[in-house]
Amino acid sequence: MTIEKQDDALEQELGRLKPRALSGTARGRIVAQLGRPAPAHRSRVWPWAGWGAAAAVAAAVLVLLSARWRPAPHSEQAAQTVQAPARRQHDRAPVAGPTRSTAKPLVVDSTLVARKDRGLAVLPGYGPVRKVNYRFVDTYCWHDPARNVTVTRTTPREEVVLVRLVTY
Amino acid sequence: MDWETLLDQYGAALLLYARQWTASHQEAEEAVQEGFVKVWRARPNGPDQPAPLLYRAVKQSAIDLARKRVRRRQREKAAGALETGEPVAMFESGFESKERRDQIERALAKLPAEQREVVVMKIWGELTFRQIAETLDVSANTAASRYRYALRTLRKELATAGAAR
Repeated sequence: MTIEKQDDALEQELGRLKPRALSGTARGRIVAQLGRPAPAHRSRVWPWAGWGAAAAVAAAVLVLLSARWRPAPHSEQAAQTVQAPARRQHDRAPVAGPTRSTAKPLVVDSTLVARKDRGLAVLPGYGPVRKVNYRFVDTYCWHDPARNVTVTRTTPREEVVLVRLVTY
Repeated sequence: MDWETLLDQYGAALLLYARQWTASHQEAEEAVQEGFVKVWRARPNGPDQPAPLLYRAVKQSAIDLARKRVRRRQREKAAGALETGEPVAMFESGFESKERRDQIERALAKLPAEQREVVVMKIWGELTFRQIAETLDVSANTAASRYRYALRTLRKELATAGAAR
């Protein structure tokens, strides 16, 4: 066998070896420093999954917040009610129907807390993919200046991202 | 291109590249993290030719970390502390046997650093000789010649290791 052919064979053998990938911890540290890019770039298979989950969580938070605020006034108002119940009722009297919330979002944040490789899977008609679980903690902070109320809610969220495996 | 796509594309090869200067897998990961973040922060929209910049930045970080490690070890040695931990293989398990992978790792480790880095960039980083030359600030001919020497040495080393089995 000529030297060139021997080199080719060795190159092929070396090329078959797959370098170890970065661990989830290392990747998480990079995410912490650079922030996450839009999920659409990562997930070509289910690009809507991440946004859908985020929208669902946001909608759930809105529903919870509105449900919480309507029937129960915040602590300051409750204190006023105790001190002067008659005036409170008088103040409320002219208001017809439910009060409209003037709450505005202060902070909407998402922090990656864990990434786990769930191994390989084969999607019919698509080929091999790697399943990666991302766990986030989403933080929503709302402030209602009219009532001087701030509500912070943290929600765990999990995304399953399918990364297409490119084979050579 | 967002940074995560770039990391998916180059991460594993950069990690292997960093291992050429670092003493452990963890230290190599730290070097990739530092180098990668440095490059991305300098060019938040993504560099036009990312490979040379990334390899250069990761190498610099790996060398800096190795220097820090030497100083830390000297302090630890003085204090009587010893670093422990399982060594992590450079390659994932695949078609090759573990024994063969170990032989290749050992043969790679015996190469002179300037040849080893060319092999890593060419084979696992899939860089062209021109990109390697740009990364190392040498001519493409020099990069190609280091690669050929490295293959010859590796071949001899692996043949000896195979015969010794």
